[in-house]
Amino acid sequence: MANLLLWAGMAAAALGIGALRWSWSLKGRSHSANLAGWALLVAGCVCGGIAAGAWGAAIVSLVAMGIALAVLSWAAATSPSRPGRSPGRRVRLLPDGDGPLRMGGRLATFALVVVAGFAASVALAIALRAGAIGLGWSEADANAAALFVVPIAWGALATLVLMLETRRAQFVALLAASLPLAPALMAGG
Amino acid sequence: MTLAMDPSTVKRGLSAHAAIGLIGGALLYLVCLTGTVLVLYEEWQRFEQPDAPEMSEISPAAVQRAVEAVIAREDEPTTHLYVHMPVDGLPRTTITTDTQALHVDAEGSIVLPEENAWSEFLYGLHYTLNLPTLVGISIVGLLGAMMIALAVTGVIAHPKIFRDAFRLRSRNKGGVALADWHNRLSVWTLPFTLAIALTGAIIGLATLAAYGIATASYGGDIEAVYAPLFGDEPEADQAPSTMPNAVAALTYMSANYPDVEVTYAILHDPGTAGQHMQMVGTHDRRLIFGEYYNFTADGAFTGTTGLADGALGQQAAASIYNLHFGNYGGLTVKIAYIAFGLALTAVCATGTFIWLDKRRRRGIHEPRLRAAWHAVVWAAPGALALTLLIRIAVGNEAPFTAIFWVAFLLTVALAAMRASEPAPDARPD
Repeated sequence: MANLLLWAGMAAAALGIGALRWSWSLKGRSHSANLAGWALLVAGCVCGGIAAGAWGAAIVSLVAMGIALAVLSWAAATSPSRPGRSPGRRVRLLPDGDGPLRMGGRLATFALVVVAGFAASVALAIALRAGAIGLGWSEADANAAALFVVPIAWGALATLVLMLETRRAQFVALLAASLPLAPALMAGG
Repeated sequence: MTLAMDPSTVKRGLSAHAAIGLIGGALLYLVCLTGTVLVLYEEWQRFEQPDAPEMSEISPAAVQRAVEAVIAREDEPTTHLYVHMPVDGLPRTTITTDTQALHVDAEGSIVLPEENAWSEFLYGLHYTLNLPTLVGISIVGLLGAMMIALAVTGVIAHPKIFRDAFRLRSRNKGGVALADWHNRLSVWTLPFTLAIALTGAIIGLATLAAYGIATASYGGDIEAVYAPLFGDEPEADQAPSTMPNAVAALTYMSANYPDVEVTYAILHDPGTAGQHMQMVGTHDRRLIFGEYYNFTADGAFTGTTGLADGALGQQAAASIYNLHFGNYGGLTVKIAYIAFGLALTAVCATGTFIWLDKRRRRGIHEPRLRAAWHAVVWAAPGALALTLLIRIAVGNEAPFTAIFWVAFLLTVALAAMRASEPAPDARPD
């Protein structure tokens, strides 16, 4: 039964990729076709998960990505040769400008992303752990959650800090992420 | 699917994406490349030492003989002794102590020392960039976290990234093909990228994160952070004692857990009064690296640690290694990891080329930077191949770390120096 479900999950994932390929090739947008594609992908992962837990979901995901790359390879192989339109293409990056290098500002941004971002992530992890223990989680679950949240929070904070336009907003974001540490420490960590 | 985002958000997303990519740059590329090669870690070990004895299984009695023979060769008592049991991917029995690693045959006789210095160099390069462990692994962890940010900003920066997910103009010139390859490979390997980045970052940042948690919650005791997850180490007692009974433990495993494959027998403080044993057993169709089956020195089973059926946190923590390294489904999954790993490596390489192209379109010519990046992209696999050739030609003792880094950095420096700067009045193309 588990085997059957796993195979069904892989088939659903393959069909999901096919449905999205078809849907995205339509001239007009089809919400129902998009939904069908995504739903099949989700259903495939759920089937894999029911059949064999995280292992099954991982296997179904690999199958989906493998099929997508195969379809992509076909697109690459059959792509017509065309001259580029590079010189006229828009450059959507924010302009660097021809002004000074602003090394001080760049180093400050680097420090905010790397040093302050990591410190805020660890602070958030400590607070999360304390909150989880307070909610009655087991020590194992709380510690694992804390260790897992550090890179997630750091990645999210790096994204946020680099997208915020003012230094003040960057500081506020980092402080807001660190703020839960205070009650956690007062409660004994 | 089109994500409705205002142009300003898209621009800031793209700028953040470029900034993070440039911070990570060459190191990110190097970690992705070496990670892809490292998927075949077991196979590389077999390649390096083809004459090591191989077997499909080994008897408990032979393991006991081998353990006693190895301990007899130790000058100082070892704190840990690991018996690598023969498994499909690496059908060898290898015993590792604090000071040596030896292959044994199916009868339990010591045959020859383990010689896999190149595989270990590769492992060190991916894990720590060959730097001191804490520094190196933390930098690699940082790169993992930045990969998460790159994935997020990449999606923000490309509102039509899903809608265009199958559009690959591979033969267009002028940077269109390059951008398409970058975006399409990124979007279709996104689940893989997030899984690899997250698990890698968790592994890499665990020590620093645990230090922070330990300081706040365990009085600075870092081991106490891990104990609820992987079990704790009992107090050592160095008073001499008899040899641990690995036969009893292995026999218990085959009698009571016939579906569990024992991959390692770990002897803690063997030959002392504080000694105890753990058998690491893999479970079919699980992401966990295994479950710890705990035994006393005389082979009495005392229970499992709970990696397979304990708290969710334990199961999740035990799953990150296999999910990262791709060793949970035999060669098929490894091949998939190599394919996706190559795609991710290509994404890293093309990202910087796209950034350089955009600068050129603005009239900013940087031939030295472009030449240096070309060199990074080609010198890294080249230097890696060079070390492998030297391993074959010279042997296990060659200084692979020095050879790799000298060859790599020298090539990049030479490429940058040889590239000619544009004339001051050069016109943008």
